[in-house]
Order: sequence, then structure tokens, then C-alpha cells
Amino acid sequence: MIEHKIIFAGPTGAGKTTAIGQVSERPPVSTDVINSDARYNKATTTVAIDFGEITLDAGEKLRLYGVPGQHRFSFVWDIAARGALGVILIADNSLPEPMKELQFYLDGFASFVKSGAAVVVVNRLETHPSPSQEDYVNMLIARGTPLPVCACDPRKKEDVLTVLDVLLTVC
Amino acid sequence: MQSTLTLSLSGLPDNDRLVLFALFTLADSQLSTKWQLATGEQADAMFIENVEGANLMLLRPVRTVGGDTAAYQLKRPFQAPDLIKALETAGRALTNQGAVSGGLAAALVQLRNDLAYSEAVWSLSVPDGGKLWVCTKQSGYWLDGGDNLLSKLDQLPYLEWSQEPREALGQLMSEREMQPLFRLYWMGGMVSGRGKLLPWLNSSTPWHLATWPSFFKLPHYPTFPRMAAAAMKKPMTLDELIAFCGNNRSAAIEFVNASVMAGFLCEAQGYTAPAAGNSKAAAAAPAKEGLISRIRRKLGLL
Repeated sequence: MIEHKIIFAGPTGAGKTTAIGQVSERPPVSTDVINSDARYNKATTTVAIDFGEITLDAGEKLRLYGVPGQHRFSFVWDIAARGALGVILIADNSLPEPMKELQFYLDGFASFVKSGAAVVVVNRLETHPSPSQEDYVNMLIARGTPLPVCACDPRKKEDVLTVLDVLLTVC
Repeated sequence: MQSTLTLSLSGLPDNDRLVLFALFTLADSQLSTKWQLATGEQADAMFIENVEGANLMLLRPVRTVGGDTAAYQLKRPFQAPDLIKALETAGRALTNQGAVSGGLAAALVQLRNDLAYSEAVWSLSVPDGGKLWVCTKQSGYWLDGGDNLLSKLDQLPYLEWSQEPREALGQLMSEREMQPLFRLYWMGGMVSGRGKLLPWLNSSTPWHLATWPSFFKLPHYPTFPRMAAAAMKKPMTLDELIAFCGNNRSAAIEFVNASVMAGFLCEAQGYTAPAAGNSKAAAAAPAKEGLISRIRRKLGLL
């Protein structure tokens, strides 16, 4: 069976698992555990790779991987991203310094970012308008890695589909 | 009171000058604008010799985008109707100097090219109320009448910017919510095209995306992000964009109009499509495209 994969990465609570759940054929297989990090207002959090999947023609599979948000699990990223079509990097605008946090992921997935096979997604832009979408765009241009920047509510399927559409175009 | 425009024939050889002087005397009564002959640089317009005959040059700036410049060319042997056409066209352009035809997009181009030099607030109004204020220094605009006002402005035959008093800026900043200027240019592109590429754009131009559009603040069709991504990856002509967004011609045209107006899409200078190579990547490209199509089909994105 041939497998293809797309990676969702971003800080804890950014909405990776929720986004995958919007398009996966079955509920995402998660390894959520009780969250012990008081900075994030959520009961459970992803500590290892979780994934959803979509069956393509002739039995091919597209796997959607959410990789752990905690920095201490960043060693998992290399393994997960090997051979992936592209990466969706989710920024959580409700965090105190979302663009600084995003830098960590831009560096962690540098090969995808450099080749343009990546999309930056900004969650919670409606409730936290700063930094703006333009701020993200300008930051990416300034660091020499222009990428699409999509405002997205991972709870909305059409938003997640738009992000995937953009990634499939640039990857 | 109707003003008189002045015409100079001093850029012509003697024979041509004599012929055009005679024709001008005959045509004078048929012109809707009053013209009189003058000398050299004092004139509003001047005939200059060229290979085929004469070319009417306007010696005052005119703010009409996409004017009928062919009307200014007169071929030998000179004919009275051609001279009348040239002077009528020039008269319209010179007497409408501050106004611009061509809809809201043309007016916004005029604003960017001619008026964006100061902290001044410029405004456009519709006769039945509603007003648009713009301050390029603040990169913002204010609307009295909502986005519908932009469509109303676009339908007026001429638009003329008015300069607001100095204190207008402070008043607008305190009383109204400022919107980003790129949104106004974007909206201008969307409303002025009316299903066609803006007249000063060329359908064969390859466009590349210079800056990702802030779709969060911009009205757009669902296919716009895909087209933006495509033009970010490589320069795309209008036809390529149409094919890329499922043959939705009107969406592709509106995307180009809006994105060029807002400065997101730029002409790709000297771009030529890459030749098909025999590299490993080139060989793998069709397989990858097939995979992307299968994923899109499965997700309902085709």
C-alpha cells in the first residue's frame, strides 16, 4: 500500500488534532494525555504523533500527521516529516508571542519552508487580531521565506480544506 | 463661461502648417470647445511633425487613464474630419483635467500616481450622498455608506478627487474606523472590471505573487487562495489561472484585477516558461501532479 503524508505542526492547543479531524475519514488516532502544562487551557494534549487518513483511488492512503507541540518532542518531527508532501504550520494568535513561537517551527521544518512546501495557518485571528495576517506575511518575507498565510478556524471544515488546497498548490 | 484652448502649429514644416492652418479655419465653427492659435510652449496643445504626418501633443497634464491617443495622429494628406476628431478629443481631455473616466480603479490609479505625495485627505462623493475619504500617508480610507458606495462611485461617468481641509484627518481618525488602503485598491479592482480585465492590463502578461493577500480582510471567492498560491509558485498568465481555478473565468479576472490593483500581483519581467528537462525532478512531476489531482478529487477540491 502506498502512503503519502501531510504534517500539521504548531504549539500545544493550536488546533492540529481538530484540523485533522475535519478531513480525516475516521476520528484521528490520538495519544492525548492529561495536560500538565498550566499555560494551556485544555484538558488533554498530544504528546506523540497522531494521525488521520484519507483513502485515495487504488487503495493509496493520505495520512495527516499531527506532531507534538511541546518543544521537548521536536526530535519526532524529523521522523514524521520524512517524505511528506508538505507541512502546515499552525500559529496560535492567543499566545503571548505567537510569531516568536512560529519561528521555532519554521526552523524545525526548514527544508519544507525553504522549498515552499509549507503553509502558515493563523488560528484565533478573529478574537486576537494582533499580530495581523499582514504581520505574518511581512515577517516571512523579511526572513526570506515567503509562504502563504491563511487565517483558519480548525473547527470549520471549509477553512481546513482551503488550507489543504493552498498546500497542494505550492508543494 | 467656456474657456478657450490654445493650439500651436509651430512644430510643423511650412507646408503642413499652411494646410492645417487652412483646415483649422474651416473647422473652427464645428468644434464644441473654443480653440485659438498660439505660439510654442504657451499653447495647451501643439502639432509636431512625424513620418506619416502630424501628432497632436497635449502640453498640459491630463488625468484620463486609457485615453484615445490614436485620435491625435493625423496622416497626410490632412483631412478636416481628422483634425476635428483630434481637437475634440484633446478638448475633452483638457477641460476634464481634474476628472477621470474609467471607473473607480482608474481614479485610484490616478490617486496613487498623481496625488499620493502629501498628508492630504482626498475624497470622492456620489450625488445622492455617501463619501469616500483616503489618506495615502496613513495608508487608510474611510467610507460613509459601506462597500456599496464603491460600486456607486464606479458607475459615475467621471470621478474627481477633492482635497479636504487640513483638520479632516483628525476628525476622521477620531470618528470613524480606518480601513487599510490595500483593501480599497482590492475593492476597486473587483468592482471596476465588470467581468473584464482592467483596460490597462494585458491578458498575456505572466503575473507572479509578490505578497500573500490578507484574505482575512478581503472579500474573495473560494478559488482566490488557490490562484494566489499558484502565482506564488510560478508566474501565471490569465489563461493559466482560468484553467487552474476550474475554468472560472470571471473569478480569475477578478482575482487579477484586484490583486494587481492592491499590489499583491506583479508583472513577471522577462519570464519564460522553463523548458521540459530530463532531470529526475522533471520526470517525477507528472506523477506528483497526478497524486495532487487524486487528493483534490477525494477532498472535493476540483
